[in-house]
Amino acid sequence: MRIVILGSGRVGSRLANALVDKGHTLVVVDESERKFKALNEHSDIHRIEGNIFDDEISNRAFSEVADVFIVVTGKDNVNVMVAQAIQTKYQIKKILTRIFDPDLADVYRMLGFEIICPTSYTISEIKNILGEG
Amino acid sequence: MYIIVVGGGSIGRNLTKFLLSAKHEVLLIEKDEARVASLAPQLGEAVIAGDGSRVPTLREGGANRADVLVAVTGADEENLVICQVAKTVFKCPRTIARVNDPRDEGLFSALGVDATVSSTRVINSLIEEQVNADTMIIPLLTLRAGNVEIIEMGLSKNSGVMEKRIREMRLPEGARIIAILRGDEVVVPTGESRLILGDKILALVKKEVEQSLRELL
Repeated sequence: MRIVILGSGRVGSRLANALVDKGHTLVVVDESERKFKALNEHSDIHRIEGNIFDDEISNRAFSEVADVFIVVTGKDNVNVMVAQAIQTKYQIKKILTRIFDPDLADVYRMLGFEIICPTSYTISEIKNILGEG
Repeated sequence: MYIIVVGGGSIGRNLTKFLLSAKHEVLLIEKDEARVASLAPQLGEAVIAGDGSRVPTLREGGANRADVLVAVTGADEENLVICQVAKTVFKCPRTIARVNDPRDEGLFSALGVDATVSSTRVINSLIEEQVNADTMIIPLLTLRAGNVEIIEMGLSKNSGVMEKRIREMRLPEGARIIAILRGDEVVVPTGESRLILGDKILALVKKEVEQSLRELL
């Protein structure tokens, strides 16, 4: 699969490294070149430095049809806006958006988005460990 | 009407004051506690601290009964989320967003924000008007000195000043007609000039008499 990831932080870069080992092609976009440090050197990990809201950057990221777009910058509101902007522009089949705030996560699930909410996962994980699940 | 304004920068602050003076019920939501503290003496209970892009804040602010929500923070992603939460969760009938980056404008309307205001676009069009001044499109200005402005007005069909000489019109004190725009022609008026159907005028006018000038014409 061809997978585009926005945000090369702890999650984004590790995810890219893991997915490329499974044989996928990765495109990782981040505004700051420093963030690419944690990415493995691999011919199937393409790095794009810049703002995804610039047409030039997004056109490069989606120059080939992407199967999945994963949005994991550190800011909920940015993730939500990017997911919608990219969906409007490129009609990606699968977009996964990270939202830390559980209320906001519910809102965008209601609007039909596929949302990953780390806060909810953490809480339910802890509840499981405590046998309160 | 009940109106919620999110973002207490200079736009949000002045908008809130204006809406209050127009007798609306208004709540300003601002994230920064220090800024809220500085606004509280003037706005009292009309300002609260909180992140307006979060559900509990909007609930606390009574978004479920708001007629209009206006998001004017300096970050487009916040303004978008604020409007979408207000619409989705609180069924707010009308949402208006400030767009800081003109590129986002199309996106906002595609995503269900009812209206957008782009200061960049407004400023650009003002500058264009200035640039076009040579080609006879005259800019409408508020003069820096304060309460005097130059306005353009059309003549209404049954205006009482039609066919009258300017010196016969009872122009309000503090209003002067400085040009008559007649087709492609610009007439520099004297007391003897007459206004005819289809004319537009440019007037230098004190703000407090602008309304009476409009009524006269």
